[in-house]
Amino acid sequence: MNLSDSSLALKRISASPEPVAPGIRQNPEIAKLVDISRCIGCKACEIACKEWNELKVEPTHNFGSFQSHVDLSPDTWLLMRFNEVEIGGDVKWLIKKDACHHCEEPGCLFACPAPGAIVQYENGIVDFNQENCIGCQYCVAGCPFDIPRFNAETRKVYKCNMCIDRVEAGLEPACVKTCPTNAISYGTKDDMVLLAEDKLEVLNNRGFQNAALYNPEGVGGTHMMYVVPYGDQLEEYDLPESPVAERGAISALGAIKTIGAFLFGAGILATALHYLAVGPDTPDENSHGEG
Amino acid sequence: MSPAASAPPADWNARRLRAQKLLARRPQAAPLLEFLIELLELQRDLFAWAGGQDWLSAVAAAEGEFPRLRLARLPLEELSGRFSEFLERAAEIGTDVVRGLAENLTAQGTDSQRLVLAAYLAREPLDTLAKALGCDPLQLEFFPRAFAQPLAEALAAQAAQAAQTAKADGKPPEEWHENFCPVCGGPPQLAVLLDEALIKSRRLLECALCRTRWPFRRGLCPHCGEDKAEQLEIHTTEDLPHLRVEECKTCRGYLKAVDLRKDGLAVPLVDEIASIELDLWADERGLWKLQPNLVGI
Repeated sequence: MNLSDSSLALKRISASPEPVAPGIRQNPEIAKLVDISRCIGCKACEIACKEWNELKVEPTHNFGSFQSHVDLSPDTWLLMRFNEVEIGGDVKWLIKKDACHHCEEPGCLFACPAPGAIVQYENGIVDFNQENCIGCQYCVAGCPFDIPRFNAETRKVYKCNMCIDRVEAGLEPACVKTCPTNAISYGTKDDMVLLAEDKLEVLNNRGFQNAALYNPEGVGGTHMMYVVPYGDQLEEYDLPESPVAERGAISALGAIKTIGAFLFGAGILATALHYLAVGPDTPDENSHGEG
Repeated sequence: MSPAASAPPADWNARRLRAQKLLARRPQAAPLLEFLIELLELQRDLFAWAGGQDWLSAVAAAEGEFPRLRLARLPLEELSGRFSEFLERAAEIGTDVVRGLAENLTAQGTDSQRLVLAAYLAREPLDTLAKALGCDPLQLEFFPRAFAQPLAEALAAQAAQAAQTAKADGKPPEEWHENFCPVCGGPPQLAVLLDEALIKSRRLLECALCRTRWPFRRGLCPHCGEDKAEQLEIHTTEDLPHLRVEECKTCRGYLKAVDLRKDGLAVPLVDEIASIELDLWADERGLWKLQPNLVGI
């Protein structure tokens, strides 16, 4: 399937209980696949992200780590995190590309009370629309990966949008394009899952018996997946083992709607039964006379 | 989380307790730890005394200059009496070598003692003075170093407090990339590895003198600046999982690292001394230590 078909038809809108009506054309779900075993930690992806999205350069300094910044920020949407661990008697650097996972079941979107502030496109991208953001930061609390970052000046929240303007034009995200070792692949979700299976086979043959695909079910799968060489060390990669998207506001709205519909129907039914059993209500002539 | 250079709290009691705990666990390091426990008592008194002195304005470097403290400017006339007293007490607790040397220095009089102290604080070699006393320079260095260490630690604490109050101008310490202490200019004694909420596996160097810790680049030899991964080896042992020897194959130097991720109760200064077998192993391997510890290992 041609990725340029991946148009920006909406799939979900924040604070809107009704699912968006599907379009006639079926759009492919897209995904990034980060093969951590191929990552050399060069951070070119961080720079590409900054450049393409015109994010402010944030001065940094040496703080005794390979990381370029301490944390994600409203102007740093992608951060390579490094953790040194001993595995099998050897010291290994475990690297994590920390950015939005573009969950199929996005906790940020479910938590957002502002209509249209967060949308999910049919291709799987979860995007923030700052014009509609009310700065409540519920999305920050709702994200099981701790990704969105609040800007205290603009009172808005920001995160990776998977270079949606590039994707719309049929191009790969900037981090994918710039990666010198092809550690980041991009394509349809189905293709990326197949590619991951191939990569896992190669890793297994190379002795990485615990290599795994990180595509957690608790959030319905993600549109940024990882091939993790040490799949038994997810905690050391700082990847939650079982992240869950809480359907906070959306599910509450849905429940209220269901209860309301039930009560409305019950009211009509009770009226009809009362009419059949008692008949039409007639005015009391005596009381009318008194009036 | 603060990535800036900072001194761990000068908790003398924690050091003593850790040394006592390791003394029970590690009989091979018993002589060193027994001596260290006695020495920590002397140093604690000196730290308390130095904390009450008003030396900071005299030793503080000009704004924006690093290292922040110039220990050579300490008033020697005020220190010499205490140094003589320290020598006498060191003779009481020390080994035969320490006792002999302390008595020798005491017999030389305060002028000689002041020369030794002044040379050490000015970072001048002690070779000539050691030759005159008929001893090894490293052995001689023990006295001024053990004496100056708590003073430097007290001054570093005062300087940190003053900087916090005044929001000191100049190059902020977190941009410090050098292999010597931004506060007192001392060499690194050891590396500390720790996890923080947002940064995993941080590497800090700890000053041999004032105990300030400052962030240092991962994968870089603090002595020669080698940064090729294949030239930098890490050696660990099952007996001491929270300690490692970081070897640089280029300069053949090594530094011990205390991994606080594996033992959060470790006191790096004490644990480094208690892991003498790693030093012996490194010595057999033909490596040299970037900075001998307080007890000369």
